[in-house]
Amino acid sequence: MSLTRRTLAGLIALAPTRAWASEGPLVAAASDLTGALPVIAERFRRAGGGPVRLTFGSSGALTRQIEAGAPFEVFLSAEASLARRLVSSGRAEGPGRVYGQGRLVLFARKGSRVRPAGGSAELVRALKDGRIRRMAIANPDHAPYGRAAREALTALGVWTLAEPRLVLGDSAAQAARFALTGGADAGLLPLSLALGPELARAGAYGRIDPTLHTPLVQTAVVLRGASREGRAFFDFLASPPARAVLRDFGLAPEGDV
Amino acid sequence: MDAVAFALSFKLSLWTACLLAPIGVLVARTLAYQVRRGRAVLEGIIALPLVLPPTVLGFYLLAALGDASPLGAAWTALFGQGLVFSFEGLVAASLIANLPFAVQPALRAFEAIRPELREAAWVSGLGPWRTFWTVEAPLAWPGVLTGFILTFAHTMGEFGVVLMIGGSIPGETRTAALAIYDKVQAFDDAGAGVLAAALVAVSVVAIIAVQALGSRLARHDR
Amino acid sequence: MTAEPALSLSFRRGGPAQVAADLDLAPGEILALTGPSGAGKTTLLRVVAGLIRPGEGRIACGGEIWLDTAAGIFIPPFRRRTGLVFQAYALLPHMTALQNILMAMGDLPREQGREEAHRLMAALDLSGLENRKPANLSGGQQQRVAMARALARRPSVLLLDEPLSAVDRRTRRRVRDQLAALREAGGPPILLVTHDLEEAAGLADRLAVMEAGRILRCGPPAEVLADPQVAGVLDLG
Repeated sequence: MSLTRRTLAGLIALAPTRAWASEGPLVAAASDLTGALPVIAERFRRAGGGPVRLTFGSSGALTRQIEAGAPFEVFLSAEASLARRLVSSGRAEGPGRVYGQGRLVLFARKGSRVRPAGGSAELVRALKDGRIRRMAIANPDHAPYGRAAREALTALGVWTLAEPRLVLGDSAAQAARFALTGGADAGLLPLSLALGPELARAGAYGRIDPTLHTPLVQTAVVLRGASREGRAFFDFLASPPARAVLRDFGLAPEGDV
Repeated sequence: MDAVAFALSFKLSLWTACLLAPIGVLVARTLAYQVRRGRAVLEGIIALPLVLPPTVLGFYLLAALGDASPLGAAWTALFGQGLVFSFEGLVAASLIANLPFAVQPALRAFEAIRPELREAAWVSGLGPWRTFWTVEAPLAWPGVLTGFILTFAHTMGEFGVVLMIGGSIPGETRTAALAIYDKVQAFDDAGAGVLAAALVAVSVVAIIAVQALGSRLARHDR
Repeated sequence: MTAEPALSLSFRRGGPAQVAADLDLAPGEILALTGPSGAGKTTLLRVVAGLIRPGEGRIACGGEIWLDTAAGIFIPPFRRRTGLVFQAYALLPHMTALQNILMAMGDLPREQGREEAHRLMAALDLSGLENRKPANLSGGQQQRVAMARALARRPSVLLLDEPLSAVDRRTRRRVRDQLAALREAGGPPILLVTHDLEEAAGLADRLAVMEAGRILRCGPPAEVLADPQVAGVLDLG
């Protein structure tokens, strides 16, 4: 690239980015929504709802922050129990709304010896014959997808085999990062992230049988003290455009696949 | 370039460095001239944030500033919002985490002033206040400025403590360092790269400035 | 001495290096203080200046009480009118010669202070060196600036820590002349620490010999130097 083009590229890089708004209601979301929620937020803005500030993390970590007083207004949890906990403690307004179903997949990069299309069976085979030396999952202690991954591995009878080879991500998104950049040979990740452009471009996935783990009932709640704009966003999650996005990212509620 | 995150880091660093400068001078001067016994212990306590893992520091700060603590509860009562997860909470945490960076260079600078020079000022009729402005400040300012720059640069890159005390709230507590972390998780490598480059640039400028001040300190005829 | 002494000091300082002294100086008197290293000479000067606070003692100078431990009085150094010339001069390195001297004239109006400073510099052969920083002055010149600074304070007592060592002959002569002039003019009493006994004998009214923290002998230089005990302490062969 010529000097001019490089300079231009540099200047463009310095320009403020739109995607990360600096005002508007604060929304805490499970990291499996890293791809889907910005799209929903954009549609919300275009529909006249205004900017929204998104913070992603593991549902467990976000729940703890909310309990410690973090000023979020809406919380999208990857599983129902955490949302219920906030309702019981009075931090959230019950009963919340189920906005989707989380699904676990086996993911591997292109060129890997693991064939993820084989799903659970391939997972077991690749662990047993050593093709998976390191596998990324979210931290089971505070990430719902990590907990689900552990349940699935246990149900498949390969937990003791897999455990020493696990690379734990701070959140499901970080686990996806590890699976993508070569730190791990494969990963047990949210379907929603595997469908996102970065992973879809770089590898393949296969579904893990959902009966192997307790369901990931994705639940959203409005938090105490939420503003009008926050509540509007919460309501928008049930709207057709939002549901369409969720469906595209494989998060559609049970029975709506 | 996530200007909001960078501006937030800049604002946090500036507040911390500016608030710590007079505190650092006060503490350094007291240690250099007024503490005789137990000085090693005090210096050690001040240096603690340097050796403690940031998460340990963050853990204790959370206990000290959170809603359950007296300070945190008082703050919430006064301002309606908690001290943690707020910019003000970050400043409070930063002041403690950066104390050694502000105190140590200033302490070395005050110590390096020959005691005779202060005595000469006293004997010439200058009281403690005037002695400070006439003798101590002109000779120790490179050390104080070094402390300022180190505090600034260090705060720009602070991660662990900020994450634990502030979470990652856009526009409020998501500093550049945290934004890089978030962007990497969100597969925004380009965005992370630009922010990282900006932070490196700040660090390089800071190091050069500190080196220049260091040689200036050495040149001072003692 | 029948008249009121210009400086009256009496103190005891405890601790690992004990020093005790009792001295009275008449107005304009020059008293030379000598003795082996560690005898306590510099300590004595520092006690008079207020840089050391002894556990027990009384110092009165120029009509003021500077120290009276029995009455709980301790005047800090910056409120005593002392002129102290340090052994290593202690000139402020970031200030010019003139500024160093002006520093001791804080209570005078600006113009008057400047005039006085110029006059002092001329008297000590420092004209033309006003704007030089100490790093650009010779040892002798620095010493004379330190002297000028001490005099600028219009002190009630002048304290000199080895002013005549390590400087050239010209400076030594200048300083001696200045001190003699002060005595002629009925200036402050002068306490002068020195190892140069000839110089001391020529200049001082009295010589005090210190050893191990106490004054061994004090009197006219000729008498003191003839004392065999003193000869032993000072290794006069």
